[in-house]
Amino acid sequence: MPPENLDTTGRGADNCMRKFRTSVRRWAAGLLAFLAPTLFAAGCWGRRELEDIAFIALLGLDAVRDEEGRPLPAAEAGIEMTAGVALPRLIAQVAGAGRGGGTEGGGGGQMPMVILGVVAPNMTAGANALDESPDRVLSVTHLQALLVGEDLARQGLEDVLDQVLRYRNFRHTIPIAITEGRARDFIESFSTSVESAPWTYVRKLVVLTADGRVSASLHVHDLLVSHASKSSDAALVLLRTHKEMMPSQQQGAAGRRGAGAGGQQGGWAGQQRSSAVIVGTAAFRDARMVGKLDVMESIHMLMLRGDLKRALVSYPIRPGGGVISDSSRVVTAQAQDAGAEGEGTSSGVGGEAGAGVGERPPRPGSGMESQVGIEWEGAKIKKKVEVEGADGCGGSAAPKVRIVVEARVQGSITEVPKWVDVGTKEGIRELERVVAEDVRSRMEMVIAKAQTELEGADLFAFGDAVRRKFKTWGEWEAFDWPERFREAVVEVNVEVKLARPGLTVRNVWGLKQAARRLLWKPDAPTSPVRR
Amino acid sequence: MASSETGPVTSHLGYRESIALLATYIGAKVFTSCPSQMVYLGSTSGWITNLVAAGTASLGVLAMYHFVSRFRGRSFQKCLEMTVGKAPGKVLGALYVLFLAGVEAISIREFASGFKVAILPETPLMAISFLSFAFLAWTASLGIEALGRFAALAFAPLGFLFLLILLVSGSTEFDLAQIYPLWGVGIRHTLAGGIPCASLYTEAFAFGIVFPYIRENAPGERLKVGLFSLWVAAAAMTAVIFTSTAVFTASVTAQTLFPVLQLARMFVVGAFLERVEAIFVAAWLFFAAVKSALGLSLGAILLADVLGVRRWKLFVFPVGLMVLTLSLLPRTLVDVFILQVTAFRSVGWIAAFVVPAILLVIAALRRVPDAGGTAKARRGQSPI
Repeated sequence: MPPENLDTTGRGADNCMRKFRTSVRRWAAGLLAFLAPTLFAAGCWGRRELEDIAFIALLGLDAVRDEEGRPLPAAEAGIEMTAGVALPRLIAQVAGAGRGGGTEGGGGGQMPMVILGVVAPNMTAGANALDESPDRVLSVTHLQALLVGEDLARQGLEDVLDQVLRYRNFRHTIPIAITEGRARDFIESFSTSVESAPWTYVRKLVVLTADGRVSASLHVHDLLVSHASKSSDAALVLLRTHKEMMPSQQQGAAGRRGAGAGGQQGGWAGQQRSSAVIVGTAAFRDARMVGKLDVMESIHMLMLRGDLKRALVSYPIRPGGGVISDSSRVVTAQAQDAGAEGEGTSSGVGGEAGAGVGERPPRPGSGMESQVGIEWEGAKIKKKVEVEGADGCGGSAAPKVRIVVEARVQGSITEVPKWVDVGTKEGIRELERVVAEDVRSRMEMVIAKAQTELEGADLFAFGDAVRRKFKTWGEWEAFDWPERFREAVVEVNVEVKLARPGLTVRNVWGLKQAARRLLWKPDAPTSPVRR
Repeated sequence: MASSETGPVTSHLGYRESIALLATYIGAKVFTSCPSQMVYLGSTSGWITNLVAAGTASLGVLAMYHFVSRFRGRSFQKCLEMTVGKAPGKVLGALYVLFLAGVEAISIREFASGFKVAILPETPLMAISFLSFAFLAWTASLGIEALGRFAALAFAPLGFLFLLILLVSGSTEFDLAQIYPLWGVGIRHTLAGGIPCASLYTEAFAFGIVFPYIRENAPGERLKVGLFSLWVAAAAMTAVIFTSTAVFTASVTAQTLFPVLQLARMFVVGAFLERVEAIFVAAWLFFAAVKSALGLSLGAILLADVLGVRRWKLFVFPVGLMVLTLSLLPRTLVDVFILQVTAFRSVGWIAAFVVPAILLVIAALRRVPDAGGTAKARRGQSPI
């Protein structure tokens, strides 16, 4: 006899099945409703097969030059467009050669890119003119990087980039960088053995180097926002080619890129190639390039913005402590341009990045024999703003702006000279103080440079803090921050925290001396920075 | 179910379905240039202006609720006729049909143009519009209940997808500093200017027409439907305006025709997940389809009531043709944008919210329909 509460009619099971079926139907209907509209997206009018399209991977824009090599105004002479069109057929060959131990230019000696160039009144006309050359229809939908020559950047990019922002095939997320010299020369001359595709290398160099980033403005979007917000300016990555030696056994770069490399077999002589390197940032104001920052300046600019993620930096220190850096040692990329190639870099950012600019390695006897290596792990910035002398909205008297920046920078020690003792609390504190003073000095110098040499370009986004003081957009615009920034008083306070000494405490080469001090001379002076 | 000539309309639309349907109808414009218009009018305080507009629209919905609820489930057209008289009521109803058609025409044009600009650039606009029209006419003819169930089915997953895109796209380039100065065009202009901006929520007017179709399981549930659906749409609109302003700045957003599309184009996760517009298109199409289909249905229902015809589905095609024709009148998308900002949107709130409030006052003063009921009672007839 079954219990009374047992359903022997099977109605419960039926209900259960019915609910299940209803549930399945609902889910199926929901899925169908979700997927059905995508059928519309798949259909197209005037469709093109993939094989009918040629993808521009790198696009360069330059000012046209006259016969003497002087840049002409883009409004009158137009622009020079250079398109690096990907050759997918060769990518696999190059990649295969790379895996087999080859280097750049492997796979039959051809780079997987063909370079087209044209001079046109604007980008639209240039795109049309370029499109007539190859059999396939050119497309920028997969553009990997937009490179703008320095000459054109100095003329301003407002008009030039309108198509980039308006035309649907361009995206705001396209990486953008400035090249020293012409973008065309850069695209034609650089090569890489790291990536099978040169555009991938450029893209990674600009965007994916978060650990060694020198700029917060990496995409077209950043340039647009900094221009529209009126509270900050962009500093785009500055690239150039750097000649370096390579063994001739790995003779590569046949074709266009290898042509200039010579063809000697054996040894290193005569084997050169041009690699792409970051040499700093190009400072912009109102979408017009107004100057350059070297790698060290760029890193400290990023610190001031609060955008620094990670950087490996060396600071020169002298026995007895104290700051070495002074204004005489801050040199622009232009000043070092001529003779710096091939020399070391003090920044260490991005490996070869920074070669030739920034501070040169200290030489023996120069009074700055040693450097301390630090891996910065981020900076926290607090900006206090005071607008004095007016109601903050641009009244009769020109208002004065005072900005106090409290910077807390944290990092780890990666390298110290043997005479620097970081094995004691006092030693760490003293090193932190010395480095903080150096960092503060560099920050102040880069701010001063922005206010004067860079025409008041607010690369530090101080304006973002200042605009909070205003109630309306009209007041903010009337305040005219770009002009106020030139006269703004900026006070920088830096607190450095070297949280970790790395995997060892004292410099192992100084252990003997340290042990002697510890065991036999306990009352020795405790100054950590000494010989 | 067609609206009855005199008696109450049978209610078939559940609570959830009603909210999903109305929220979709009101909030679908988030995919068009409406967020840009709000930033265009309110600058960095566009999102505050939007909240003020939604607050104003809430008052309109409240007025509409009290107006139509007086008539105990009768159709909106019947409410009009009982309030202002048969002939003026029919004229008013016909004007509302034109109003609805205008609202739908602008939306369809924006959706079609956006689709052409961003997704199918080489497809003729006419082809998109006619295909949309055929699809919408069929969908509309299924009826409000079917639309409600479809909306309830897809609203949650697609709404979630939409929010996901918004959050991810926004998170990469989000900069809170761009929201400042907080009061954009000034406190007075933000608050006072937000009232006419209620035109952005003109579609909340549809609550009055859908009202008799909503099943009321508990007292005040219909009012909850009206307000909740409005604020779901307002929340989505505010989120888009806020995110877009923070990502693109107010200046750029104000000039961007399709901010949500631009946000979707910013979608990059790592260096491998990007170009997700195809998924975004699904949400776009769903919202556009439901909104336009409901708009056609409501226009057809209202027109049928005005003409005293019971089978409203007969009017889906004529109303659809009228909407399609109107949608093709503006020469360019910029014309549509300017038309919305300068003309339609500046007076839309009066038609959508102020007129129902005036009708409520008239109905209260004339004591309709209670007065009629009392008179009939006096004559020995049963009240309504």
